[in-house]
Amino acid sequence: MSSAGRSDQPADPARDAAFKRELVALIPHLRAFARTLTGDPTSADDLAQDAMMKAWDARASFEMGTNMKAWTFMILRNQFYSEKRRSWRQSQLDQEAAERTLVAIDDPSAPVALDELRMGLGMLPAEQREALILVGAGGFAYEEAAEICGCAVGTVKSRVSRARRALQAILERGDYDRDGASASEAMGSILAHAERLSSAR
Amino acid sequence: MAQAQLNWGFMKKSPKGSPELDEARLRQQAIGARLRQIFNDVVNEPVPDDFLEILRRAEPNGSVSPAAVGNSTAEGDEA
Repeated sequence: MSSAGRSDQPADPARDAAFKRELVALIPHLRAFARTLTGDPTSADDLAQDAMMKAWDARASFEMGTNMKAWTFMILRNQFYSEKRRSWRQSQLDQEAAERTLVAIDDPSAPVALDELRMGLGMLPAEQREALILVGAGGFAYEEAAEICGCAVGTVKSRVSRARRALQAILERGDYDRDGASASEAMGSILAHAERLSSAR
Repeated sequence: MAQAQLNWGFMKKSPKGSPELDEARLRQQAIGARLRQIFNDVVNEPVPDDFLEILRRAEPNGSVSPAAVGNSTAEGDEA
């Protein structure tokens, strides 16, 4: 718990203004992180707004000049999990199920369709998804991602690696490039399989 | 990165530079490029007005709406 932003903090309008400028510049990135985490534009913007306001509330505890992007991403991530605490574990796809669906690689230069990748992202376990997004799209070093996620650097590396492998498996298994119907069918069967596996535990 | 490649089980024991490794790398590059595109597409969207509006409303007395009050995740206290 922090008393950041309360009246016991000395007011510092110039600092607040500088903080706000930097925070406003980060909004597009917070929105992108939220969107890729949740996969849903509306709840993503709610999440990004909550995170933005939490950051504003806690501004007194932020050390100006340090990495505000990483700091706000950590806030957003914590917010995401505190909202999803009860449900997100249940929706995790069994990692091994995804990996077992590996099929032979046919055409490595085939383009990856955006919608399929979005769906594939949504199928990853949340902790792998966030690690891949932070490192693979958000521009964070493994060390920064580890700090944001509150885990060891080696854990982030392993999650990113597993996420990449699983995503590749999901995309190949889905046969997405050719036919939307078969794609969603494949998705359904992967999910059903994963559900059976996880409920068997 | 090196460790990530070692962990790709489907590549088995392919030596560096083998066709399997090259293919896998191409696939991963394609996925990586699309992933960045998905992320950057959102970054490049105009920010909805309500973001700035909420922030503006929070300003006058320096404190914020009840919805935003909760456990702080800030860890900027060191140093």
